[in-house]
Amino acid sequence: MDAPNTNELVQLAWEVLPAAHRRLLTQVGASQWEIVIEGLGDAAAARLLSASERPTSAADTAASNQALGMWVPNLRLVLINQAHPALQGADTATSEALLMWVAWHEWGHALSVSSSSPHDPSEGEKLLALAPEGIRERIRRGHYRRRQYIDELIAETYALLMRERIQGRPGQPVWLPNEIYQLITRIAP
Amino acid sequence: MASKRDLPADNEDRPVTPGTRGFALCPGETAEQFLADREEMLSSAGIEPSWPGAAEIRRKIQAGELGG
Repeated sequence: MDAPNTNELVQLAWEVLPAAHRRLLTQVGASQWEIVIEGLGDAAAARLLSASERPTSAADTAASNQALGMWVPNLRLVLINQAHPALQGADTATSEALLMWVAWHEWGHALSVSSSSPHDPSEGEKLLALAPEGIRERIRRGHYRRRQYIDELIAETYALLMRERIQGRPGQPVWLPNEIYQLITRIAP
Repeated sequence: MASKRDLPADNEDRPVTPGTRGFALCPGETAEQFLADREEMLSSAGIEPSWPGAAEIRRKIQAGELGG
């Protein structure tokens, strides 16, 4: 059987999600995606312009061109760049795992930002300090603003939870502090 | 915007396009390194991580093994 293409992998990532999460994502406009072969900043800017929405700033467009995936709420669309250099030369297993991870990460953002159970961005630093080292260090190295910590923490944790789910380990993992798991379950019951 | 590249250490005053959220690897990071870091984290928690592959994931979905 041929290796699945990018669209098939994102579809597969979608089907892995609990049905309740798919319903929530559909409600908040994150159930559609588009696979592109250009920088996501440029892709988003062009689509925002076509939709008569305010385009991203030049600086944001340039920064977003480095992204593998991006959720654009105003377009109700997740964009994924299948021509990203990180995917070029990667083996099949790596590409599969990374693309599905990116989709889960973006849906984690969508659930977080759209949650009817809002969370306090000021809690981000405290929760980040509790997070497993692999998540904590990645977010710190990413130079996010402090008020973005909690959204990134949720998105990274959500992707890891979906990764665990496909390996038959649903629910709270042993590596995840209860405070963070409870936050996730409030956002995506 | 949550892209991780080319940002100064202190981004507190950096303007941002409302709402959009992106995922990027850290500067210099490869896909393999990123995934290896995730697996190392799980390993350190006593979990044996392995990527089952798209075909196996599809089989699990079709067999109803992933629940609701």
